[in-house]
Amino acid sequence: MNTPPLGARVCHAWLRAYTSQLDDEAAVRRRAELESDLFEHATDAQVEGVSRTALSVEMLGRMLAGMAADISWRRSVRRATPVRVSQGADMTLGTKDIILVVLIAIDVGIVVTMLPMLGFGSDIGVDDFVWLGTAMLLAGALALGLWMRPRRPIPALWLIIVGAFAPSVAWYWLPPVYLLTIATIALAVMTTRRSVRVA
Amino acid sequence: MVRRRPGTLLPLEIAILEQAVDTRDPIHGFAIAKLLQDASGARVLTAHGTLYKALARLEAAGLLASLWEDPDIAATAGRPRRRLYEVTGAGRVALVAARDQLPSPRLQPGVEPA
Repeated sequence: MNTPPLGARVCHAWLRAYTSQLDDEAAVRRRAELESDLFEHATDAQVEGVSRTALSVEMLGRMLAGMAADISWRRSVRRATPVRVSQGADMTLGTKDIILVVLIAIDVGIVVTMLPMLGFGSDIGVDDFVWLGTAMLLAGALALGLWMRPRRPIPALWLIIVGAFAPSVAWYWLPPVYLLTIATIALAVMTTRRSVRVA
Repeated sequence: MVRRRPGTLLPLEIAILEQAVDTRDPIHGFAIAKLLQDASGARVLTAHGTLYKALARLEAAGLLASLWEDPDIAATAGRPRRRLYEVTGAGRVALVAARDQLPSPRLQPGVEPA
């Protein structure tokens, strides 16, 4: 048998899927045990003269019948995986992370575009400086939150949540900008929830 | 799904312990599945997830012990390494206790006991 039967390949795919992002030791052991099992099953079928099609059906049957137990096992392993809040975010950037970075860049950019307005005309009052100063501080919190995310995800999340109000403060008369604030907060929360659990 | 009372063994776990005790030597997962099939007369082998979850539970409870086969043996045989299981002393005690708790076969009127 040079190539594994279709059933074995499907079993391998399922195995990779339900052992992905798990504690290394548990996942490696389960993969090695199942690979051995599939090999022994194929060898046994060869000795007994079972056809490749029948072997595939047997393997798929065993896989399907055990799927609920596989998922239950995965959940129990994940529950046993310590949550290391101080460990920081995953090193690999997902799509949501990239979108969040772009949103934060836009948020900060919106505040920065307000700066030249201070130079326009002579009717700039103290209130305008306070208002723009607040927006600048919030933009700074955003940038600081983004910088801290890999090392201190939870404090960074709070900084991003507070800082996300920067564009809404800077352009308070433009309600569509509020969507940026909402989107930034939502993405920051979603990506932090995922990243604090070290799989 | 069978719900377990604390401290009790599921029928599959009892069957695994029985097979592992009978073989005496350390035994790998697929061999256990084959022995279970032969013993029960079932047409299909125990499902992967069910079998390995049960083995992990028994090991975590200290009723089975396991170790990886020597990689040289596996390499010589040209196959993946096997995880070998054997029953512990606690496993033998638990098996005896579980057998004692099993309901005794009920005699039916008109049927001669075997």
